[in-house]
Amino acid sequence: MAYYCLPAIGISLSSWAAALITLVVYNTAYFAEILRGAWSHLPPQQEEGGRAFGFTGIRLFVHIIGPQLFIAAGPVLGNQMIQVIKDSAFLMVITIPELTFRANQVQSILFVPFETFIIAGCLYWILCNSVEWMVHRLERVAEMRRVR
Amino acid sequence: MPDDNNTGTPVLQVRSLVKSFGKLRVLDDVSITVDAGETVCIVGPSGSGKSTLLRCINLLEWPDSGEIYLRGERFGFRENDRSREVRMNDREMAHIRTRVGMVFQQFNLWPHLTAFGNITVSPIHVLKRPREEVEAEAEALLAKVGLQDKRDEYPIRLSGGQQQRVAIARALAMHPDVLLFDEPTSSLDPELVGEVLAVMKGLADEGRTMAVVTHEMVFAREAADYVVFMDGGRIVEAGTPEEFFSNPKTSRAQQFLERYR
Repeated sequence: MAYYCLPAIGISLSSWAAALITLVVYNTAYFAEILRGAWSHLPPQQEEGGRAFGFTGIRLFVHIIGPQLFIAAGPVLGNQMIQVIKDSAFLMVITIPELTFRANQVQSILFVPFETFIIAGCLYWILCNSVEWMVHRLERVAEMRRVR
Repeated sequence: MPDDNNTGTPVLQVRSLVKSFGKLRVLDDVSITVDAGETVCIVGPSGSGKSTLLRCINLLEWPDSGEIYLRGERFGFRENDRSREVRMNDREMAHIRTRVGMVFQQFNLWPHLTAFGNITVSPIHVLKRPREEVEAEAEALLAKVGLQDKRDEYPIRLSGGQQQRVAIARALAMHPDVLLFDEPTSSLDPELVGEVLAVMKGLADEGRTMAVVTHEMVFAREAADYVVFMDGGRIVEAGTPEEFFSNPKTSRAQQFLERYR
C-alpha cells in the first residue's frame, strides 16, 4: 500500500523507506496495545504511590510505571518482535531484497534449493532465538520481582 | 528534618474539609491541626472517613471544599498573576507532595526496585539530590528500621512487616514536613504488627511530626500527643490520650472504646 498506492496521491517513497515506515507504524500499534493492556492490569496503587512521592508525567513513567510494564509484558512483546521478523518476508512484494527473497535468488541461480533454504532458515532461527534470549533474561528479572 | 520546630505556624492545618462520594458525605467539616513535633492519632470505626482524610491531605483525593495548609502554605491552590486562586497544576502539586510523607495500608512498595531502590529513587529523581548523599542516608535509614541485611531484596521477598518498615524508610528519605500513616498495620499478621509500631513509636519519640490513622489503641495511648476520634465523617471528640482513653466525653466514643477493653 505505502509503496504502490501513495505515489497516486503524489507521495513516492523508496522501497526501503516505505518498508521501514510501514513496519514501524503497523507494529507500533501492536506494541502500544500490548503495553496498554499491561498498564490496565497494573494496580492503581502503584501509580498513586508514585504520585504521592512527587513523580509526574514522564518521570512517573520512566521510573515507576514503565519498568513494571516491560517486565510484565516481556514475553508478549517478544512474540510481537518475532512477528516483525516474519512480516519482513512480505517485503519481497515491494522489491525489498529481504532474506527469503535472496534465498530464492540464490537457489534459482545455483539450483541448490535445499541448502539455501536451510541456511535461510538458520538465519531466521538465529534472529528469533536472540529475541527469545532477551525475553528469557527479562523473565528472569521478572521472576525475581514477581511483577504480575 | 524538623529544623524550625519552634515557629508558631502549625506544620499541618486542615480547615473545614468536606468530601462526598456521590451522595455519601465521607468528610463533613473536618478540621485538624498538627504542630511541629506532634503525633496526632486519628481513630474511629471503619468507614468513618479517616483514610479519606489522609488521602485528601496530600490531594490524592480532591476535597469538595475546605483548605489545607502546610507550614502556612495553601496546598492545592495558588494565586495567579491577577491574585485569584487557581488550582495547582500537576507539577506544583507534586512539589508539595514531596513534603508530605505517606505510608500506605498496603505498603505500595514498587516491586521492580529493591528495598534500597525503593528508598533512593524518589530523592534522586524527584528531589534531584546527589546520589552519594542519598545512598549513604538510605543505608542509615535501613539500619534505623532494622533492615540493613535486606538492602538488596525485592519487596516480594520481604514479610509484610518488613515491607512496611521499608515503606517508612522510603517516606523518611524525602525529609517530609509531616508523615501520614494510613492504617499502617491493618494489613499485617498480628505477630508482625509490633515491629512496625516500634519503629513508629521511635519516630514519635524523636519528635517527628506525624498524623496516624490507626486501630491500635495501645499505640495511640502511648505515642500520641493528641487523639482525634472520628465517626460518620465528623470529628466527634478530640483530646489528649489521657482524657480520651480514661474519660471519653461523648457516648459514641465510650461505645467505641468499649470494644477495645
